[in-house]
Amino acid sequence: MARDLAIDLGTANTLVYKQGEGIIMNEPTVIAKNRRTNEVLATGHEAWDMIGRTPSYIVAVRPLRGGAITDFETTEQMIRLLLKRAGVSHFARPKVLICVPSAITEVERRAVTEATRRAGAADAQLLEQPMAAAIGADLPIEEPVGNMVVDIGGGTTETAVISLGGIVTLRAERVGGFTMDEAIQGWVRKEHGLAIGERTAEEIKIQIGSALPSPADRDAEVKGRDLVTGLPKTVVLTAAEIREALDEVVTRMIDSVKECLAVTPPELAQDLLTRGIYLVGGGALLRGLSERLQLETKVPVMMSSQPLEAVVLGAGHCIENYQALRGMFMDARR
Amino acid sequence: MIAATSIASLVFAAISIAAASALAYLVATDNRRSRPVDGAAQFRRHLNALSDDSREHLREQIRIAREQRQVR
Repeated sequence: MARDLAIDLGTANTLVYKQGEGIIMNEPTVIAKNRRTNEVLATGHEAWDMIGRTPSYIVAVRPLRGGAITDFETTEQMIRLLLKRAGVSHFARPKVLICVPSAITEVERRAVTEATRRAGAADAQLLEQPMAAAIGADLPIEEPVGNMVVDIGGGTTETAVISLGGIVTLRAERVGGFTMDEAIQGWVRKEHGLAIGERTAEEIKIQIGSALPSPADRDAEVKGRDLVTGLPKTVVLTAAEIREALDEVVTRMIDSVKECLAVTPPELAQDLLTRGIYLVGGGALLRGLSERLQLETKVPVMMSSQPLEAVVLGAGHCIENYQALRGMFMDARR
Repeated sequence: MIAATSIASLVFAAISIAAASALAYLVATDNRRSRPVDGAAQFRRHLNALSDDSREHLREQIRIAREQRQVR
């Protein structure tokens, strides 16, 4: 009998959980294809290494951008490959639960479920990422108290208040880790006349990116292409200027959390003062972000113990208790 | 006499088949008819599946993920 699967189809990374086993796959959401034949050449880490370094006939793309599916055909190919690697065949057809951003459109929702069914799933269900994240962060969401989770992914920032096993308020903003990378690319281009790739921008963010000043602030040397001469060039970036580059993005993220707090029922809002806000997702790892959020909202902010795996672990729990929790799935509530 | 008996047998056979078909139809439609959903019980099951006790497996997975991260 096929073991059911949970998939966190994130803008940045894709994680797969297999019933009774745990996380069996964790890799970048990237696919490399031959432009001429449309054949898939690589996925995951292998395809990630190809980004920005491919010959003209190969394209390494992220099929999801800003929490939205920008390339349906590629997404379907990717889901098909994921299921195949997870052992799905004509004879072993599992139920599949896919975590998607809550801001997903009706068209995208149908596209994902149809693609998953066509790829061999016996049934395909969708679950909002913040709900899965709250379960995966081990929050007591079954209790009649307010639990707030902020999931900062590659393409979206989603904030939800959950009580009695259901979402009470939800806010989603299309900003995330990749928006930070774009902001760094734009800053370096404008202030230093240097073109850098998205991978370099991400490295700068990880090395010296921050949301608040810190004694650990340092500089980083960056190599790119001079926009005037067209020649390779090296510049030194400071933590302060990268903080300035990221400020607009960070402010949008925090404003989204504040908007969610503003529409939270008062009884639950007061719970948050004692229980705090939980951060999950790769974007939440930006240095100083939790401190700045706490400073601006006046609510304690805690980091989940497993920010990168929380969503898929939460979805995995739903897979292990499929019948009891199927009321949570997006289709069941429509 | 023989003809009359044959006709009677055929009639009885037809009645038996019709009765059996009607019974089968009734059983099938009864099974298909949706049972009234016990909302309270379903809600309780939902909360139980999220309860502290039911999360043992989840905590084990969190521990494994943490260990794997430390190894990396």
